[in-house]
Amino acid sequence: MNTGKLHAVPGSAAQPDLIGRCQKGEKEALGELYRLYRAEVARNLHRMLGPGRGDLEDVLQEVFIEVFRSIGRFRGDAKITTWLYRVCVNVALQRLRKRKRRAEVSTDNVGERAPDIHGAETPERDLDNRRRLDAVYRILDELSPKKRVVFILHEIEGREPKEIAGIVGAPVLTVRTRLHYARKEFYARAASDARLDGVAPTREVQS
Amino acid sequence: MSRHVAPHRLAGALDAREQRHLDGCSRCATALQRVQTARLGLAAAASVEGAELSPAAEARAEASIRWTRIPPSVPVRRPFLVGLGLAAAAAAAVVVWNAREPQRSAYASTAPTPAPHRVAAPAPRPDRLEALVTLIGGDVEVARGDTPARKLTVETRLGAPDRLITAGNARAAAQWSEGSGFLLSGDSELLLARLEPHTQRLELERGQISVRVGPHEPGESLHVITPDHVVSVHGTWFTVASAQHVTTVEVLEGTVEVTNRDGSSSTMLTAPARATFGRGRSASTPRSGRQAARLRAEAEMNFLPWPGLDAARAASGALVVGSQPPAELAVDGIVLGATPLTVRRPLGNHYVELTRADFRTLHQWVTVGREPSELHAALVHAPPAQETESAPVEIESMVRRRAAQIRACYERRLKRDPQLAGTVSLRLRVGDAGQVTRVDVEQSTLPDPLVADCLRHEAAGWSFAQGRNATVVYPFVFRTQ
Repeated sequence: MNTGKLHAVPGSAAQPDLIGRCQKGEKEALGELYRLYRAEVARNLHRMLGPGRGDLEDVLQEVFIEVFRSIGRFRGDAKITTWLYRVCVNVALQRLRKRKRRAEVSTDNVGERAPDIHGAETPERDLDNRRRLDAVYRILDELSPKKRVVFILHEIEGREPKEIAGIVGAPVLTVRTRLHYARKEFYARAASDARLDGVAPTREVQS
Repeated sequence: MSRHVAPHRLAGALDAREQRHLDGCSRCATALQRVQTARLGLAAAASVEGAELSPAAEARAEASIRWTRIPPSVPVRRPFLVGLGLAAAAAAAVVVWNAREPQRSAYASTAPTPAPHRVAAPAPRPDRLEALVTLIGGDVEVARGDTPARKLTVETRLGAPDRLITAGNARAAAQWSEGSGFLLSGDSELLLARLEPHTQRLELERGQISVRVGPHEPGESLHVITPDHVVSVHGTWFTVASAQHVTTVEVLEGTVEVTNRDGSSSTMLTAPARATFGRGRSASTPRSGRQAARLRAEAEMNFLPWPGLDAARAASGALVVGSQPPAELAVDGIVLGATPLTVRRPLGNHYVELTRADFRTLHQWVTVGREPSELHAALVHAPPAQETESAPVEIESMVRRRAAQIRACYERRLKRDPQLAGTVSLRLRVGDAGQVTRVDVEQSTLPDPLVADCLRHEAAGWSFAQGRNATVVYPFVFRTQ
C-alpha cells in the first residue's frame, strides 16, 4: 500500500542548499522546490479532500504559496517533507472547515477528475472502485474536519498516532481519542448507508 | 441495539458469538457488507495516485513563484490564504479613499507597481477588457499615456492604462463585465493599470473609489492598490478607506485579505467586520447587517445587464438629466446621485424621480433610445407641511401595510425570471366611500405582464379613509437585491 508519505524525490538529496536558497528568495530554488514536491502534495491533498472536487488545484496553489511565504521561518527542526506535510494538512483543514460552513456536498459526478487507482484493470472494476471511493468520501464529508484528518492519516495513509500528533500539533492521547471516535462514527455511518449497497464488495483492489 | 453487533466492531475481527449472531441476523449481515465495502473504498483511496494537474495549475504556480517575496521574520497573524481561486461567485465592492498627499500619490504614477507578495495571478491571457461608461456627473477627464486629457463621455471605451480624473463633486461609473465595475468619486484620480479577464488592478492615486466585482472564475483576482496597502478581492464585498497611513476595511460579505505593501504582514477578515490598520497597530469591531446594507446602497453604480461590451452598448442609451435646483436622481427606483447626471440605461421606458427637500418630487416617465434623451426639470418649491397632507402619503401608508402582498406578486414571477426588474404604474380611482373603484395599469416596464395583473387585483381591494373622489397614479419599482 502506498503510505502517502512525502518521499524525498531523487535529486533533492543532491541539493542540500535548496532550502537555504529558497529562504534567500531565489526564484529558481522556489521553482525547484515546487517541481520536486508538487506531485506528492497533490496526491496528499487529493486524499484529504476527496475525489470529484474542482478545487484541488486551488488548494495546491494555496499550499505552495503558504510554503513560499513560510519557508523563511523553517528552522530545520523537522524534515522538509514533514514540514511540507504539516502545511498541507493545515491548508486542507482550513478548506474542509470552509466546506462545512457552506454545507457543501460532494458532487454526483462519480469519476469527475478521478484519480488513477492501482489494481483496477477492467473498466467495471475501475468504476466499482470509483463508486466505493465516492461513497467513502461522502461519509467522510459528514465527519468533523479534525476527525476526518486523523482518520485519513491513520486509515488511508497508515500513519501511527505519534506521527499524526506531530503533524496536527496535538497530544498523542488526543489523537487516539479522536481516532477512536472517528472510526466509530465512520463505520456506524457506513453500516447504515444504503449508498454502499449498490457496490459489490469485491477483493481485487486489495492486491 | 445491544443485541446487535456495533458497526465499528464489524470493521475488525469478529468473535464466535458475534459470528453466530451474524448468521441469524440479516440486519447485521447487511451492515457487515456495507462496512466491508467501505473498507474496500478506504483501500482504494490509499491506492490513489493523485490527479493530473492542468497546464493552468503550472502557470498559476509559476505566477506564485514570480510574485513571491520571502517575508522577513515578522509574525504573520493569519498564515493561511483563503479565497484564492474561489469558485464561489459573489458580488464584491471596494471603496477606497485616499487623502491627497503629493508625496504618496507620486508613487503609483512613477514607480512600477510592485505586486503584492501574494498574487493569485492565473495564466496570463492576452485579451484585454474594455469598460463601458454607465454614469457621469460633472467634469470627468480621461487620458492615456502622454496624450492630452479629453472629456469623458458615455461613448468612451475605457481600458488599461487609462487614467481618469474627476473634478470636485464630479463622479463617473464604468462596467467591464456582469456586475463588475467601479464608481469614481469627485476630486479623484485613478489609473486602470490592468484590465484583463482574470486580473484587474486599479491604482487609486487620490480621492475615493467604489468597486464592485461580480461572479469570479477560479483564480480570478482584483487588486485595489493604495499607497500603503493592497486590498485583494476574491468573491467578497467590502469597503476600504485609507488616510494618513491608516487603512479602514469594512467587510460586508465573504473574506478579504489586507496586505502591507512591504509584505510584512497580512490579515484575513471575515464579514461582517470592521478593522483598522496602521502605525503598527490594528483593531477590529463587528458590524451590523444594517450598516452593511447602508454601505452597499452608497456604492450604487448603475450596472447594466452584460451580454458583452458591444451588446450592452447596443442595448442601452444615454439619458441626460438636469434640474433646477440640483436634486437627487433616482431611475427605476435606484438612487444614482445629484443632478446633473448622464447615465446609461437599457433602451425603453424608465421611471425617473427627482427629489429635493422642500421641493415637490418630480415623477416622470422617460424613453431612452439610441440617441441621447434629455430631461431638464425646474422643481416647484413646496413646503413640507403641504406634502404631508397630500394624497400620496395616504397611499404610501397603504402600500407599506400591503407590502407583503405586493412583494409576493413580484417574487412569484421572479422565480421564473431571476432577472425580472422594472416599474409598474397603477392609476387608482377612489370613489365616494374611499373604496378603489377602478384600477388601470398606467405604464409598465416589466416584461412579465402577470405582475401588473396581480398588482391590479391587489389594489382593487383597497379602501382609503381619506382621499375620496380622487384619481391617483402610483409607481411600484421592483428590483432584485
